[in-house]
Order: sequence, then structure tokens, then C-alpha cells
Amino acid sequence: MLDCAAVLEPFAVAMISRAASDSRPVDDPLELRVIDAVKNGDEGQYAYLVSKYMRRVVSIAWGIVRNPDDAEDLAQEAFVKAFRTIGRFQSGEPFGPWIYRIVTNLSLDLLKHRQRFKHEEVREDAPAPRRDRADLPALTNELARRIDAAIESLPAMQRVVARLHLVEQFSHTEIASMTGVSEGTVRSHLSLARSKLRQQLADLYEDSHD
Amino acid sequence: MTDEEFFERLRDDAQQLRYEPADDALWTRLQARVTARVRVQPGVAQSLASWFRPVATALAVLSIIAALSVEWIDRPQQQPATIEAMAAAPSTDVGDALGVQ
Repeated sequence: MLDCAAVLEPFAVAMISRAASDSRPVDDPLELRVIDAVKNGDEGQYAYLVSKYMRRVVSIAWGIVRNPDDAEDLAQEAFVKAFRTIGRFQSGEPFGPWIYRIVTNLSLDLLKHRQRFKHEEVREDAPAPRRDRADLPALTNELARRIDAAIESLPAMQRVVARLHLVEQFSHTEIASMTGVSEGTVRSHLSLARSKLRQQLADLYEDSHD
Repeated sequence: MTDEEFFERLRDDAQQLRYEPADDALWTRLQARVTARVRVQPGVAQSLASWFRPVATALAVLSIIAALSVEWIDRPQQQPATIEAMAAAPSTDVGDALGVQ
């Protein structure tokens, strides 16, 4: 019996973690019905999906672009795009990963656009990139501020992958699907990010955080 | 502490970095915007129909007005003939009444 429990424990943890990630329609039969209704032309039902996923979608976009206005616009665009292409969405599949993938792609596109623009415009004496403190409403303590600053200091793709893994709690497989890179590349980015983050946050985690 | 342990602890702590707007009405606002944008756009046939319907109505009204105008124009032309006919009638009647011997 004990052996059985030991074997089942990781499975149970995985199931709880999966349920918490709110992206499985098996947890929400209503979602399946809503998707079918929307595919059949009942656009009024789409409000359910928007309501269910909006917070997470905005949070993902904000984590990548780091500007609340852009994040809100990107979330809107993601939902509109998902709606317009819902005919191609396979019934029975979870809606969450799909909308997360769309918003991640839109956010990465914006990031690339910004970087291209920056290469053309930024000079040696240009001011540092704008960092609205209003963008960081969740940072209520020093620990959170330090973690946020450490993640922000990473190179672009490591930063994106680290945010999706650490903040948004996505698995390697989910991040690979969302960003369009291989799982191996995700692991590689995370490994590099982990080393850098550990160096930067050593004083917090080696001493006081036992 | 191993790298894995460090990363797991960091992952627990980093969850609080999720975006939480100060304004709770943001979600309602965003949902309303998306809902407005996803309302069914009219297809080609519907667009043509919505364009054609007022045009057809206008044309029908114009046709009715034109028909009434023609009718109206025609009526004054018939009026003198009627008067002449009425005027000719008494002369005949008078002759008949007086009788020419």
C-alpha cells in the first residue's frame, strides 16, 4: 500500500498542478460546449472564454512586453485573432494553450519590432529604457522586487522563458509550444537563466531563505 | 542547496510577480472591447443587401412620384376637351329646344 502511494504521489502532484493551470477542458465541460457553440456561429458565447482566460493572457503579455497598455492591446488582439480563426481550432482541445500561444507570439513580435526600432534609433547617450513603476503593481516586497530585477537583467529569450516558467508556472513543453522553439532550447535557456539568477540572488536564497 | 532546489524556491516566490492591475474594472473593460470586436461581421451578401435595400426603396418612391406626376400632368390636358364638349352640347340643345322652322 505504501509502495502504491509512493508511486502515485508524483502523479497526484502532477494532476493537482495541472488542475491549477486552468487549461484543461476536462475540468470544465462548459468550455467544450462554448467552443462548439462559437464555432457554430454563436459569438455571444465567446464572452465565457474571454472572461475565463483574460487575466492570464494579459499577465503573459505583460511579462514579455512589460508595458500595461501594450499588454492590454495584445490581449485584445489575441482574443480577436483566436475568434476569427476558431474554425481551425480542433474541438476537444483545450482553449488555454491555444490562446496562450497566440498572445505569446504577438508579444514576441512586438518585442522584435521594438528591438529593431531600438537598433535604428538608440545612440550611445540615449537614456535607459523606460521602466514604469506603475507596471509593477505586484511588487509589494523586497524579495519580489529583487526577483523581478534579476529576471529583467537576463537576455531577451532567457527572460521570456524564465518568466513563463517561474512567474506563469508553465512547463517546458508548454513553453516550447507557446514560443515555437524546441523543448531542448527551452531547457537550455532555463539552465543559463538559472545560473545567472542564482548568482544575482545568492544573498537571498543562500542565507535567509534556508 | 542544489540548483534544482534553488529554482523550485524561486518559482514559488516568483508567482507573486503575475500582473495584477490596480484597476479591477480593467477586466470588464477589456472583455467589453473584445465582445464588441467579435460581433459577427456581415458577409458579402448581407452587405450588398443592406446597401441595396435603401436604394431599392428610394427607387420605388421615385417611381411612385413619377407615376403620380405623369398622371397629374395628363389631367390638365383632358380638362379643355371636357369644357369644349360641355360648351358644344348646349348649342345643340338650344337649337333642338327652339326648333328652327
